[in-house]
Amino acid sequence: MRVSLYDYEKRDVERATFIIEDTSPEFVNTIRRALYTLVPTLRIEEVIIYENDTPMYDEMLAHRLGLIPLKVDDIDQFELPDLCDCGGKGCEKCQVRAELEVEGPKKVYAKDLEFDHPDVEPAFPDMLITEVGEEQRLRLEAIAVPGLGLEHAKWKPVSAVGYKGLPELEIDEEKLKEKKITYECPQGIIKVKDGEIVHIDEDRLPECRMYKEYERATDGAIKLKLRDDAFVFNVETDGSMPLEEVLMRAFDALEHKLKSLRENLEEEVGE
Amino acid sequence: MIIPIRCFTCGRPIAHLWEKYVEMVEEEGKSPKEALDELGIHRYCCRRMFLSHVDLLKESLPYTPPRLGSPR
Repeated sequence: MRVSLYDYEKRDVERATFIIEDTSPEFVNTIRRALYTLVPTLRIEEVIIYENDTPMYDEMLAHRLGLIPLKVDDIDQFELPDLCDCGGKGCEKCQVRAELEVEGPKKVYAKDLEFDHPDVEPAFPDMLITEVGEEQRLRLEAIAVPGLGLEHAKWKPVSAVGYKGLPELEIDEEKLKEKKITYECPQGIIKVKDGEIVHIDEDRLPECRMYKEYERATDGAIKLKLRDDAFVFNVETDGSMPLEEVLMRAFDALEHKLKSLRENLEEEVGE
Repeated sequence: MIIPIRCFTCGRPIAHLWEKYVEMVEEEGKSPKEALDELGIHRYCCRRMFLSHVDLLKESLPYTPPRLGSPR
């Protein structure tokens, strides 16, 4: 299995495209699902609302708070509530508390949440939570809990992860000349004029989204096949963790699962 | 109501970009396309969150009566 970085962009969130070769769809899908479900992150899970005079309902406010991505320096210092020594009751190893107290008129941002742990902060301080009008008050307490995307999508450290087969061109030059085909792809990757190939941007083929169109517009002379042993793999984080850390943690989680399976099997067979 | 925290479809966080987007479109005179491209919103699921959003929370702020039992 080989992998190469095709594209990388870092803005508010990190986004990368890899090309993975010599593998199978099943395996790439396993990586995708591991990224979604096996990497722990910290999110607000419980909200205690003392005062809420804003037009936003308590439920909606709690839902919005839950979706805010939280950044932790080292997630390993926390324990999943189910596996924690306290038995899920809640202790400082599996909970972080936050307070919010706002008097209007004011806009409420994620940075107004005051966490009682020095390593925890919202990934994007400028996130708009709600707005408090004149003579209105908002006072609440939030409890953040580490969790897995398996339980609820808010704990996912990534937003969109996807893959497709690596596109490969199949050109029938005789047919192209015979039918005097003229075609230009909207993405500017392929240009054919009167049966002559003017320009093909091989490097940008993994970006191609119009592959069905090629075949239809050129009467089958240019076909784009998607390989099933090489893939274009897309990942984007939601800001709660660096992209590299997300990938490494997903691989570690897969490795851990296989290792425990192996140990278990060895015990069974060894008897 | 107010801009959702994340894109409904893919889960990309968007709430921190709304005010920048409004500033770009209303004050700097950019088209929504330019603003969205500059903010790095590539997928059409996230783009529609901005394009179709109507900020109504502000309108209802003055009409919210105090809750019963809220100590004031």
